[in-house]
Amino acid sequence: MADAAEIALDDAAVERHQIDGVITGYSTAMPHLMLATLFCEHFGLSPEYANGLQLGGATGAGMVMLARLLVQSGQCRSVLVVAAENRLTHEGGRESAIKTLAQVGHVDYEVPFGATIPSYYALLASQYLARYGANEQDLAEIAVHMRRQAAHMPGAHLAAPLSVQDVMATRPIATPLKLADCCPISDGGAAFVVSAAPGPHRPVRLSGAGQAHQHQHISSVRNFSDFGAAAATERALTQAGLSRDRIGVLGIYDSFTVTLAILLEETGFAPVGGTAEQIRQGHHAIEGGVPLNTHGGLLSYGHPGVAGGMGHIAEVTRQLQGRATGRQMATSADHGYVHADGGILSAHVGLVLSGE
Amino acid sequence: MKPLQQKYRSELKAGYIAFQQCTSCCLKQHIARPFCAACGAHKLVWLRAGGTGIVVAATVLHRAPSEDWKVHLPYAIALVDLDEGLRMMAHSDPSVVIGQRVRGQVREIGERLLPYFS
Repeated sequence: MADAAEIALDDAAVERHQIDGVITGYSTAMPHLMLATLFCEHFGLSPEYANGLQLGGATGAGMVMLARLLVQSGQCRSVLVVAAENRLTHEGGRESAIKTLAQVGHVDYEVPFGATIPSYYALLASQYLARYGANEQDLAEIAVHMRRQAAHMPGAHLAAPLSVQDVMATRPIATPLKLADCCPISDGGAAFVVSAAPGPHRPVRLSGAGQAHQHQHISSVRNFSDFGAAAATERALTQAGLSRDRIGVLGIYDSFTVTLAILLEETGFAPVGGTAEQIRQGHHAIEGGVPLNTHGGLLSYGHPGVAGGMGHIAEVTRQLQGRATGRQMATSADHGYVHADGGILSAHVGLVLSGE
Repeated sequence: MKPLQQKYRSELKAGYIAFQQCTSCCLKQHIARPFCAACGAHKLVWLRAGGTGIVVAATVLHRAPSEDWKVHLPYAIALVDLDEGLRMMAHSDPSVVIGQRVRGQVREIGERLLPYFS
């Protein structure tokens, strides 16, 4: 966390003493009741405002939304948003992470079936494939896209080339999802400074933010074509006063291939059932119409918990600033959209980022 | 919450999938609560499902969440829409497909009593 925070402060040319607000996420590897104050003491901060926030995969976007509210309200001037964990290499490692994460399900009505996070999303995938007549190769296309992007991303967890055939050959985890349909469990961190004062680079404003929370458990979802992503997107775009065609770059949560497909479609950036086709046509490549997850997403850049969901925000910011060295999108964009979900498409946070 | 869980489990032990219905707004809820999730009323009755329904989502697990589940691999989990209008998670026969009509029974797996549809 300290490393990420230091890099963010340097990037924003902000000194420790100028930080008057701190928002942290949570850590499954090292749970703590008071992560925000724990970090503040460790890092040498004495802010006027601090708290942790928990929204699963949507935590990062939720923290940025809250940071803006704090700045807008005048409560804070410069808020540090930070999260990191060694989810892969901590004691217990992958096995312990998988066991902990499965507890997102209902303690009496889901977890007792021996369910895992991949199995919850596999249920969604089975529905998605049946509903739209799509196949496993279509989902594989999404994994291949992320890997293609990650090849140009420093620090990517998975960067070896990957083809649709390679994805299809990986072992089944929870049908129809195979290993390459699932994001890895990674180590990593991310941090932002959200401030009233612009930094040394092209200022990127959070021009709109929206949330939606319609369920927690997958067995409580009534409508498989309305998880809440559409409502959150609409709220964010309305606040920004923008229509979808003004969005030039996307960062969409991709914990599993099917997560990306459902979210890209429900947010309205792909026709229903049309994600794979848009990717095949190159629409989401860095030289395409609307580049998507140019850092490789959770599927290839990696998923270190809260910081994983912050990766999309950092990357869209970098693209808007023209600082995505080696993977900068071909045309410049003024607006980007980031969407994150927590749980099983349970908590939705959408952010519209606008370059000034 | 404990008495509600005990009620649900004792019904499973007797071979039934039980659920609550609100006496005020008639909402049926599979996840038991001391109140109705729709209208907030506190008066609910327990009913028994007929045990038949339609598969709306299905998966076969090849990776277990923990050591104690490894011995059962591969096993299948499905979401089933009961004829009473409730959606629930259950174990299923690995061959079930979406849209298939299924009938439930209660099976013992490890020390757990779990609804199973085939």
